[in-house]
Amino acid sequence: MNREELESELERLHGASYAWSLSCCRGDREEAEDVLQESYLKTLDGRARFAGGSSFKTFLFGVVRRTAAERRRRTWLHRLALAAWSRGPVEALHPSKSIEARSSRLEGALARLAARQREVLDLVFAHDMTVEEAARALGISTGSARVHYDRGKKRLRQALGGHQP
Amino acid sequence: MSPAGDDDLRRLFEERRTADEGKAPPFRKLLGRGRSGARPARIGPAGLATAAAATLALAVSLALFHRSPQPAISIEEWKAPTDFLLDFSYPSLLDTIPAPEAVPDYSLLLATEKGTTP
Repeated sequence: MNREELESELERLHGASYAWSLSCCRGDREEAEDVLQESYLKTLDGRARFAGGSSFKTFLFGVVRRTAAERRRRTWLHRLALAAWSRGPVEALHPSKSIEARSSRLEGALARLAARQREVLDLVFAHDMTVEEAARALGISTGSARVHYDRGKKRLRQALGGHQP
Repeated sequence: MSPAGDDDLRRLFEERRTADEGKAPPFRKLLGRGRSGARPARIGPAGLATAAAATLALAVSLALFHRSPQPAISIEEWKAPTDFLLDFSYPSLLDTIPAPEAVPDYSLLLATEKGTTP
């Protein structure tokens, strides 16, 4: 894919990518925009190369997830260092206050799930991926993704207070 | 991949995704921001203090380094900073060889230590 084709694909998937980035950043809009911007740049300048082994969407979502994880790790270490340096309160390590309150019923129920379960369900239900594609985007085995999917769905239904099929 | 029984979950997730997609900034704006440079980092008071201290330390070390430029001297004029250690007040001691009779007689001392007398 040349640069124009890549840009065109990125633009086509922009809305969904932003929604996924927002999920990876636990609702922090500023962080989600930074992560998405960095992911686009990685894709366009070749730091993240699309080899064609999966769909472009699966590839891009994988880049977004990895970028969010890297930033989270950096931010955490940065806050830890600052807290140690300034002997600040431990609260400084908690997520930033810019996290948007997404207080829907689904959001409350998802908060009770493990991160991996949440991610697999999000990719399958919100982004129409198969479990295999979700596994590829998350960099885990299909078997592992299937376990997260089944357990996550069960726990989500319990949290939503609904029936269990 | 999800069976038909999961339609309720799918609907909930799709509603959430649609709402999130609506908040997305324009693609070109986001990409343009990336080309012209990333969003400036959010630096707190502690970060500013660290940066100020580092700048000050750098300035002081640069000032000390360039404080008094030393004129270049030739190798013949150069003296090692430890040369003064070689200055000896009694050079005559090094110029003469002690005569054999000048060596002290230690025989008495040795005999006393052994408990005998010569």
